[in-house]
Amino acid sequence: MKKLLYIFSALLILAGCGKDKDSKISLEEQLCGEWHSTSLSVSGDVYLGFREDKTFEMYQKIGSGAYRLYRGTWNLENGLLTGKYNDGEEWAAAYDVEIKDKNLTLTSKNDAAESTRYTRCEIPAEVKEGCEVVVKSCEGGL
Amino acid sequence: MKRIFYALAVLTLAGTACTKEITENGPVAQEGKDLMTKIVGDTQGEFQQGSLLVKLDEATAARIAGGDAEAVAGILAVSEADDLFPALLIQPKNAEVARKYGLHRWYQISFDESTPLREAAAKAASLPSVVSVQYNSFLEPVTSDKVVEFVPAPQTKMSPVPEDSPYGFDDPYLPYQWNLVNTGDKTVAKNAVAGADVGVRDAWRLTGGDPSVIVAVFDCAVNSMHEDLKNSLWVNEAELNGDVNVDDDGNGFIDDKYGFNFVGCTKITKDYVNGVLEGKDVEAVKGSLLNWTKGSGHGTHVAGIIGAENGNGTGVSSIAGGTGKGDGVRLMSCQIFEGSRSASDAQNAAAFIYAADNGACIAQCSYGNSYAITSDDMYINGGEFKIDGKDVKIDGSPLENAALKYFLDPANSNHQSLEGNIAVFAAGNHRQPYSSYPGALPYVISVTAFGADYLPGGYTNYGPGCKVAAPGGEYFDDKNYGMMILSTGVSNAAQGSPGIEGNQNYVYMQGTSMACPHVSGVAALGISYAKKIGKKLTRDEFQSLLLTSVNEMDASLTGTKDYYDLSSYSWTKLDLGKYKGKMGTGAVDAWKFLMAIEGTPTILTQAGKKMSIDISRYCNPYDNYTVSVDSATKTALGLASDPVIRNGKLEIECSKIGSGKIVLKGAVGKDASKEDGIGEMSYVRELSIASRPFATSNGGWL
Repeated sequence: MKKLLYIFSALLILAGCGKDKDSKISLEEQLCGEWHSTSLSVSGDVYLGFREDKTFEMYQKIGSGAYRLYRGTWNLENGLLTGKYNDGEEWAAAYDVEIKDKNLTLTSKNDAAESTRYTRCEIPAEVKEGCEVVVKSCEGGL
Repeated sequence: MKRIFYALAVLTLAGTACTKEITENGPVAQEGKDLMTKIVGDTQGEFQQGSLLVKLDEATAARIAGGDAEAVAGILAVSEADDLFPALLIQPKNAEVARKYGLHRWYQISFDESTPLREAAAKAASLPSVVSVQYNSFLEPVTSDKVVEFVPAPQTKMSPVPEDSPYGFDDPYLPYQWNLVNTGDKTVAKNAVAGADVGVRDAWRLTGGDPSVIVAVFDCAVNSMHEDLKNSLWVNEAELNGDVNVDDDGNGFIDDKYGFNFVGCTKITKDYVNGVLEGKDVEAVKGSLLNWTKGSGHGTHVAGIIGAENGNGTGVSSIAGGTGKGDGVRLMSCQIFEGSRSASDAQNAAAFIYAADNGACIAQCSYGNSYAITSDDMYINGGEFKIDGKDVKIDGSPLENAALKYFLDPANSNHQSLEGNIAVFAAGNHRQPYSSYPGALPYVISVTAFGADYLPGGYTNYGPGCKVAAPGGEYFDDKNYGMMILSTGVSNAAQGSPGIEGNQNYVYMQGTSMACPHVSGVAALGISYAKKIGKKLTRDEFQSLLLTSVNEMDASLTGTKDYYDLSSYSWTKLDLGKYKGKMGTGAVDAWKFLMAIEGTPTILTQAGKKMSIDISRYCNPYDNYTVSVDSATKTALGLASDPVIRNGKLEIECSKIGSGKIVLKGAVGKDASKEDGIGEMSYVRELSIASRPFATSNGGWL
């Protein structure tokens, strides 16, 4: 019996971020990984990277210019995603999270109920290399 | 007119801008004035004897160009001159642009050297066809520089920079270059403050330069044999592979392999002008090859700041010296100083024509006037002025100004990513509360200097005419050289220049002469990056982005600072408050500049809420901008009142969800105390705004 339990836990650990999930995998585990925007309310492009250690990185290009890197921490409780940037500012909204197949929908939990959609996608190296990080005033990004 | 280098000696080891259009006036434009007002200036400076520069009226210039011997004879008879010939080499293909600035009307007359210049000038000015007479003055030579070699600490002996170092390349002396990467290490510079640099470390992630960008260094010659520069030179392949004493490429200059020695042509004579245009071996060319062995190595030092080869495991790094793949910008040597000799006005003007005609898109000019010239008109047209209660005659520089404008003209664009070319000058080292000329002109950049402590160098000029600040370093004492700027030097440079000791492959210098090439280097990096991302900017747009890509300096300008004055060899206290708002728009930042060229991101705001947004990454938010918003944007965003910048932040309240643009307008350099003083360079920066139902103040999407 003990042997079986050990094998079962090992399987759970192996089912890590970035792999196809099935319905038995928690929403939190499914959220882990990298995402690319497919539908935003403004002209722009956003890559999200949610890490298992509850940190995130976000490369955003709204309008023109280079991608800008934001870093911070996230939390998911009862399907509600919240977060804080490394400069101490909270996200502008909490979000309901919905993941189907390889698609993520974040819907703001406020009167606007704004939905944005993302698809699972590795953040390209050129986005990371060319991004703008606020170096002098805040080493490591916001 | 005296002009000097701005290295104080020592030691040991998306917008558009517009500028006020300055035109020649006074004696030049007002043809028919009495003869003495036609003579542009008359100082006690050094002039070329036996020669004068004259500007003819359009009709006479046309007659002479058409071979009208009678017109020539008429001028020679009245002026009692021996010869009359064009002052500049104008290639036929560039004749149209030259005409735009009247360069085709400038001639030299030559006469017996024993004839007093004033007498000859008066005779020339008596001719109705002569509208202006200019003494052919020499730039003031460098006589006081002292340079001592850089001696690296034992542990830095050509050892590769570790992978986890905060620096960018494996050049062993890079850790000593606080001007490029200032980590605040006080063993490098005694007064180092982290971040007091040119902001290039991160910029190198995007570009290290591009060989298509050619920077002309107006200075003493660049050492083409230097181990850290030899691969960074502009090379005229036809001349390099051609015959000696032959104009192999037909550009009018013989054996100009890496540039040209304009001092070496001791006199631009008729034979010289005609000879080089016909590709002949002519007398004046002999001995005029670039000569970097005389002088302090000033030009070599300046060149190394812009383009010493990066990532070659040798010597120093530079702003735009590539990424270790031979991909840095290229340096063209326009030699206007040689030991104790210097170029005349005509030769200096010829250097600008040469740079424009042979591919340079940036003119790097660490020189300027040493006189108290305080208006654009005084610089261009000269005249008699009362300065400090004394009557002072100032030489005008209409020919240099015309040649400079020829260089800048969009028709002479020398890079696919820039419409027009740009010129960068040193502000000067006289502690004057205004920039020296030509840098103070409203269509060129004048650079002030700060030290490793992010405070003004004690020598720097400041105030009207100054456009932007950059690292220039400063001397502390003979045991602490690290606060100065380390760059490439000239071995065996002791010949012809006092105070030089040892073997100077790498030397420290200080001055606005050193600050100036930082801005040229950043500009070169910007053009390189624009090419990389497929953008093209006008000169005004480019300069607008450059002048707004800065970090604010005023916050630290309070109290006093001790400064060692090399002119008096004594310590002095600087009142920092007097520099507030007078160092230009701020400290230039290469990273911000590349980001600005990439494009300005949209700022996110929250509809229905007054937002206070940090805009320091786009510009110096403490600059004195006016904010303007067009009616379409007001409607789209539902703005009840115009946004304002307060305490360094943009305050905006949108009542509607939408998007639009706001425009920040600024100006720098204007002498507010005078109606017709030093002019201003204006600039604008556009910011896009999108209001959402919710937003953070840091601009994050989530």
